[in-house]
Amino acid sequence: MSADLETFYEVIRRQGITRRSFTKFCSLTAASLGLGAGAATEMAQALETKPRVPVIWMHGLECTCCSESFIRSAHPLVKDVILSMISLDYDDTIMAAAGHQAEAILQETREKYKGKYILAVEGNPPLNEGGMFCIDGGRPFVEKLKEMAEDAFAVIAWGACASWGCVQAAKPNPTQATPIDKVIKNKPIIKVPGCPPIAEVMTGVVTYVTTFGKLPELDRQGRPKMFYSQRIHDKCYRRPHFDAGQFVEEWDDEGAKKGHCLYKMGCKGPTTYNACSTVRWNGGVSFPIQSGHGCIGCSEEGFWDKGSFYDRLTGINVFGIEANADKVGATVAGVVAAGVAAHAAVTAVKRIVKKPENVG
Amino acid sequence: MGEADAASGPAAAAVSATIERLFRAIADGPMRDLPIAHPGLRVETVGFRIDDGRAVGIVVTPWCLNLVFAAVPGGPPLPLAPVGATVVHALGDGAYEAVVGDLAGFGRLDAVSLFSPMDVFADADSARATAEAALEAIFAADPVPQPEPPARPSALDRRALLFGRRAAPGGEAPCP
Repeated sequence: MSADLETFYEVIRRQGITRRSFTKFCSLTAASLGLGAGAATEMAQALETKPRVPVIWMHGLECTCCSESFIRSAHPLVKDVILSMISLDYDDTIMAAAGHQAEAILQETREKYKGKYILAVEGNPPLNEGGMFCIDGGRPFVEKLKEMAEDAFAVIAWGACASWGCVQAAKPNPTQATPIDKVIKNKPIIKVPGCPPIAEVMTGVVTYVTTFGKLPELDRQGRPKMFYSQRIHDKCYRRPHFDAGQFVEEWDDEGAKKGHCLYKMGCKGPTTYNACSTVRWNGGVSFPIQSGHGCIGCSEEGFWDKGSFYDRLTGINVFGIEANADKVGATVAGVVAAGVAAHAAVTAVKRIVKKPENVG
Repeated sequence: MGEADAASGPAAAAVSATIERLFRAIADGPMRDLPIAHPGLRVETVGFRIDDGRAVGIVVTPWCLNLVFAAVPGGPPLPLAPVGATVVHALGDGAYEAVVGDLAGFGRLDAVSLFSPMDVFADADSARATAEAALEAIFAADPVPQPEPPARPSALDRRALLFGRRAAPGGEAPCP
């Protein structure tokens, strides 16, 4: 097998990583992806036999928090795994190459791995003034993005910037910062929103795509269902206090000390789809609500334009259709009336049930 | 409106009634007029029954629709865990991750969130119908209890082996 077609397993063995660590990584990743025990073996086999997948990681208008999150993934192998596994051919933040040499890598990967590489995009392109607000390698970023997307196998939109626009697209959006799915129309795009996304979610998505050679199951908004099918609120450890009507009313009141629900302090957990309350952050240590602050809803579309982080969620369905109770009726899209109750129930049960083989 | 599966008897009915009374007080108290509470819905408990020694049912409120688990007097306790922890409860042919709660006036109540907020529901009847359908879906694939496999007659026991016989007295014929 030539050096070009090295498998991930060969690479990590060469780096001195034991087989034991490798299998542990496979089972941990399979578990984090919500896959059964069989998937770990399948994953190990794929990583041992398939050539590793080249990834091009481009940066548009962004703050690099996605990269920061990614390289701090909790599992000790991840930095080796991901960085070697995915054969990160181009990432202008962490690669050694610079200038013309770096640009040459882009073109080389594009030609050599046509239709096989993954394009990971952090940040988004500004379209105003012909894209002049983000110049990369002497050209508007949007041009480079479209060019590289043309020959990619799939595109990953990292973070709120690439997925929804984030702060640079907040009103009045002077640069016309635009989410990448408005620019790349002909490739499948996996949105991994969050500001930044959780490290384990990022590595999980990359591992899934590179290992199984296909996209994970996505929801209607293009997010991987395995990480974005539940709201922060659904599995929040403060949820029993919400259910019992026990709220923090002031930042230093008795409720705050007792860890009551932060809904009245502006927590956006009830409307935010992400895995923070289950996967948590910094190796599963904590997440914003556990640190005493409400969720700011950073993985939801347009979260900068939804009012203050401390405004209480008002009106129901804040991020969707604004409606007060008088207007809520079966005519509003997504509303469960008696006729569709069974369907809604089955969908909800499917979301919460864990099949015995997945029970850890 | 509290109801319990008739077959499950008074224990489930008692849990159902207490939970409904307490959540109704929450609805009239701290949850009253909060924008996250759906004014068109009401508190009710649906389909409480005893399963594997625990009370299981659904609580519908204007702010959440939860599958709940509670211990019953004389039954086994729920797995030991602090409030806010996640525990896995087996039910039907699946398992459910519930958050451990402590409902004032009742005690330990583990809840799995099916819906919250409740803005997706048109009215109380559809919320109730959804709760009933959810319970049906959860218990639908409940496996029929398998009869204990008949004990296989031992062809070889230790005593027989040590004494050079193939099987215990009354078993198969000894080795030729």
